[in-house]
Amino acid sequence: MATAAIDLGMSITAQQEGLGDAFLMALAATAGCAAARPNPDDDSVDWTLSSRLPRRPKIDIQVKTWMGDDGLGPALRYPLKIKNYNDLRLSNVVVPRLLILIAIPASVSDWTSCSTNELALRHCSYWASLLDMEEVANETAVTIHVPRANVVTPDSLKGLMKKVNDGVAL
Amino acid sequence: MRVDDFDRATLSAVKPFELTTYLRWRGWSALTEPDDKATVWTKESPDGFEFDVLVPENRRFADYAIRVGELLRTLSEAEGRSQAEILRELQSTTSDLLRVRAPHPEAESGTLPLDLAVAFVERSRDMMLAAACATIDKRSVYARRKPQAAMNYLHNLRMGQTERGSFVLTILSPVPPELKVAQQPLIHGLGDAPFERKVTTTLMTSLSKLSHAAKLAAKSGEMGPFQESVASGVSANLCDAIVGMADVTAGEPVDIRMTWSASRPQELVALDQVVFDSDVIPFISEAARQFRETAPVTDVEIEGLVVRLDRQPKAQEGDVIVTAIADGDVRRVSIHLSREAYAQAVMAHHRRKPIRCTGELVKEGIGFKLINPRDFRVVDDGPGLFE
Repeated sequence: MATAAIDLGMSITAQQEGLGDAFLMALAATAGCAAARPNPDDDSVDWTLSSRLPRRPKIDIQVKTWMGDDGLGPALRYPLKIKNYNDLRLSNVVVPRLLILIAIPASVSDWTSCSTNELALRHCSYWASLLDMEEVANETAVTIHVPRANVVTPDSLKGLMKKVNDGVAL
Repeated sequence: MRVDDFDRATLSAVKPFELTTYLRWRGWSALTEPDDKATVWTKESPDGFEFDVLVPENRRFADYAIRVGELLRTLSEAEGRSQAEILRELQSTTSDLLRVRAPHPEAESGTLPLDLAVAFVERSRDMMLAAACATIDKRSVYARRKPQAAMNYLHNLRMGQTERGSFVLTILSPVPPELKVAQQPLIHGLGDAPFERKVTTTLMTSLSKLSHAAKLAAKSGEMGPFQESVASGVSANLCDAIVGMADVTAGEPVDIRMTWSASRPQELVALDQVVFDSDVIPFISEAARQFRETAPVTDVEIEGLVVRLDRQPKAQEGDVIVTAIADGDVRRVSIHLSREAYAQAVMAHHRRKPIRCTGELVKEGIGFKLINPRDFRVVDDGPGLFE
């Protein structure tokens, strides 16, 4: 029997969450950032990244995986739940917040590609800061624009940490 | 959804001042200058690893609870202790923390009969009130109406969460922090401490004196040391409280422990722990009874016949004995009188008229004594009692 056909029984939501965490953990580890779950549980913060730069900067991250990107235009147009929108645009926070949106293939079997040379995670993660965005009247979701230029890489993570360390808004 | 040990409300309730007081006490130091958001504190572990925590400037930040949770987790790792234990100490850095342990046999299961639990809390409250009264004025018995300062102190006490295992009642006595002026060390003595700290100090010294007196009594039957312990803050009220607590423990010792607030070090040598074994409890109970019996009852007016006159040849003042109703029965009450009052007493004795006098009634031997006599007068509104 082909092992690919075996269903291990995990829900797709949980699978997506796991993939998103994998993206972040791999990039953070390469960049040299520690990652921790928030305590207490929070609806809008999935991970807190921290580093040992002089002012010990931290970034609170919300991770979203998305199969709906059409690949067009300068930005991904993602429908973000209104609660997350309002929590992520807060300026009254000690630690700055970012959304990391990960465009993933629609088919689970395309999520990863393995060889002895590499493990590839597909497709790409992008970051966006919603700081000081306007209040909206929407009741369920807001379409936010995540620039395709904001690819999350170990280097861009380092750059973001440096900005926080220097007190520059993200 | 993860289940956390601490909810948002508990973490949000921790104040930044409690965090910094705790960190300073545990040897952490500030790495950065405080900015308008937060300060970084660091500490090096014995094996050279540097821990760091972020302390927010105020509780109004939306992520305050997350930051406290984060800090607590790091502290737990740095100190090798549970977050629960650290949280409890964080909450009590600005309070003296009293732990009263009632090792009831059933308490190991994590439950206690409700009636006993209520009694235990009430006796603990009585104990704190007795200590507050003793801090104001040392007496062997405190009347039902307590001084306002003692009641105010009582109202500021807080009960912490009970701890598992045996039934442990925690009481927090908030204490104002010590403020050092520049480089000057403060000169310490009981007189310098705020009232709240005086009460907790008095509590622990009086409990230790009580324990000591009780152990002596258990060995020798001597009740004398109890009387001497009044000067250290022991009273019938304190004794009754301890005896009441022992009822709950059903034969197990009553164990009282104090952790002094980190924000105000305890300079005086005050005991941190006092234990009362079950075999001393009957003696403490007896001491309470004796205190109540021999304590002066204030502002009593007695009326009765003068039955004995006694004055030295050259003296102005004299002593009389009056048979009067006192403490529910006819008693012999002795009074030391001034020259004028003694003259009236002589006249009353001659004419077999009763007298009235106000003072403090104290038991003396098999009789009584009326001290601080005032308003002495002969009751002269009719024929003498035996005419």
